[in-house]
Amino acid sequence: MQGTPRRSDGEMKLCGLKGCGGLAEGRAKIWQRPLTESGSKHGRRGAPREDVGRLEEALDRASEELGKIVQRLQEEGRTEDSLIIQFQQMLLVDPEIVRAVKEGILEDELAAEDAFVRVMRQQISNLTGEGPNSDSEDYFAGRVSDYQDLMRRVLRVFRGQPTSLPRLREPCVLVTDELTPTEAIYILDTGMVRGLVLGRGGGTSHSVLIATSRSIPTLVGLGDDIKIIHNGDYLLLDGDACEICLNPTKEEMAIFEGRGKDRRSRYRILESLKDLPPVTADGARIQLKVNIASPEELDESLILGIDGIGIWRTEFLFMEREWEPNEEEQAGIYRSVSEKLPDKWVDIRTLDIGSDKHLPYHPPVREPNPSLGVRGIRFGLAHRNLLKTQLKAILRANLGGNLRVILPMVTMVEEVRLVREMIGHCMGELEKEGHSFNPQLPLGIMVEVPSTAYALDLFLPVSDFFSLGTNDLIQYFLGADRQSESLQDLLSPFHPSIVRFLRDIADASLKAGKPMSICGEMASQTLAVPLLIGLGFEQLSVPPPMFTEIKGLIRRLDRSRCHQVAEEVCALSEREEAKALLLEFLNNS
Amino acid sequence: MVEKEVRVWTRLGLHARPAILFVQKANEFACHIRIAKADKEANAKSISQLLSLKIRQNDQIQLRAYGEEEAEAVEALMQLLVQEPCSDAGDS
Repeated sequence: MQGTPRRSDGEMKLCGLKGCGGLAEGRAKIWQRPLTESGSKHGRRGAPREDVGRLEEALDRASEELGKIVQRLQEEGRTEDSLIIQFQQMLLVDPEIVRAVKEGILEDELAAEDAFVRVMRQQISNLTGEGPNSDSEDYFAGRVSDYQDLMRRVLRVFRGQPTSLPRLREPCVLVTDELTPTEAIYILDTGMVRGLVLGRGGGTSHSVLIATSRSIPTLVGLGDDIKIIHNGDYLLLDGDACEICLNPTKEEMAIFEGRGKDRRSRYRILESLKDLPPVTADGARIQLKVNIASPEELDESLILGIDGIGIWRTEFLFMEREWEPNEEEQAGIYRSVSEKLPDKWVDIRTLDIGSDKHLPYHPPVREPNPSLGVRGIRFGLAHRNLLKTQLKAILRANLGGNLRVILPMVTMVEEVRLVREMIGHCMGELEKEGHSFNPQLPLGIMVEVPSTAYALDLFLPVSDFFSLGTNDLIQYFLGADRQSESLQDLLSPFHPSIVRFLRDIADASLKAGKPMSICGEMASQTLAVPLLIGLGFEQLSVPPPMFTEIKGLIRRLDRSRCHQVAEEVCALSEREEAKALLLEFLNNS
Repeated sequence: MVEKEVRVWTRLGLHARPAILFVQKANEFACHIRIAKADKEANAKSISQLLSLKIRQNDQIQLRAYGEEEAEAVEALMQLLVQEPCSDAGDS
């Protein structure tokens, strides 16, 4: 986990763990929190009653301070941050904690601050003590920093000391062992911190969450390596490559700037193609959308002139956090994306958990074959709270009328009917609760289970649109595990059965007149795109980095010629033949 | 004394917001309120004790209130724990 520095002319590289991606550079500012003595200097002086009085005063003062922070955060709409601080506020008025501290003063003759520290330490050791399931361990271990934050604050108040936060007068890269939540909030909101380096902390600690929500590139877990950095060292921090370069040579600056340029030149190429639509050479307009996992990916795509969001993989909203986002928070996130693409469809796929994806705060059930197990809509219907919250959030966020819902891993028409019923109930609840929502919410399904793809007509009455998940479809159809490294070769989209299956699916959806978009990896494989277009698919959804390339490719293709080559491919019996044919076709386009 | 047993639908132990709301609600009542899971019991007005119970969704817990407005207190807190009526599929 700790890097091996190369020493030469004060220049060296350190490695860390990713906290928040992005590039940052600047002068290092080392900050060390002054050591607070852990207790009173002299033990208790005077009557116990006096100390109880001092305790109450200190708790009140600390509560006031926290109240101001909470208020500011709420005004800025930072609800998650404010929850962290509200938790600390509640500890200050926690009757059990207050009682235990007073007991320490009155019965054990401790000074107020010593009694307080003793109780806080007890709480901390309770949290890190017994070992429950691993997921909740993370959660409770995470709370420790809240208790420590609070403890330091109260001790400081006892001593009448002002907060000991670094004075930041100019932009810097802050280097420190760790930050408590309130320190992180204060320091990062000064706007002076370009990048953050922490000795301690895992990727999901509160300070990292706080840095991430402010898009400040952060590396954590450097341990003792942070001692190698001195005040004034010039740092290049690459939050994605997870490395820091100290006092870079000209070459390293150039490389760093190159990385920045790469990330920026992508925008430029995209700009030139930006106003050109994805139309084939013979005039067929293909709908080209993007798949996203988080709203952040969308900002780039905005420039690209996408035709919408083909799939929003919402499980990423739920992962990498300590608790699920509530209805309010989800609605805000969905709404923000809805507003960015006002006249395009944004297709939100409901939580697709199970198989290889788990929520850290939801104990995974052990299944012998997770990809054949309780995942996708099965998971959703088994955990209706989660699904309902998500649906209600989408309903509330859809005031712009451009959101749609896609259900993952649908196997039965009954599943879709159930969800439609649930949506009805959700609307009823929202009305009672007085929340406004849009009663029109198109509902579509992922076509990824072969049984669904085989009998598409069954789903026509219940589904407003379709999205073909080729990754899972290929896996299930060929009976080969996507996650198996040794089987990757087998999972070829050019397998003759897959090609024929796709042809049949295309025919069925064209006949039905219900749009089907392709959102798996296949849609962004240059060799596969002519085949897909030739088979008759008219909607593709690709990862944002592939958008321009695929748009450029579509513009080069002649759809009627794609029809021809697709027919030829359908007649072949081996994958390699198919690939060779398509390669030749591409070279001649 | 009023006691009610209920299956928890919110992730009280793991989920910060419901825990905070629950404790705030409990503190609105004058009576003593206890929440118990298995053989462990906690003061429902204490967020630290509540979290130490590590209550998860589907856990069976007991709410007990003693004193003024005990019935109203239990009712109000139950509402926070039970977001929707039990359904078969929800049991898995």
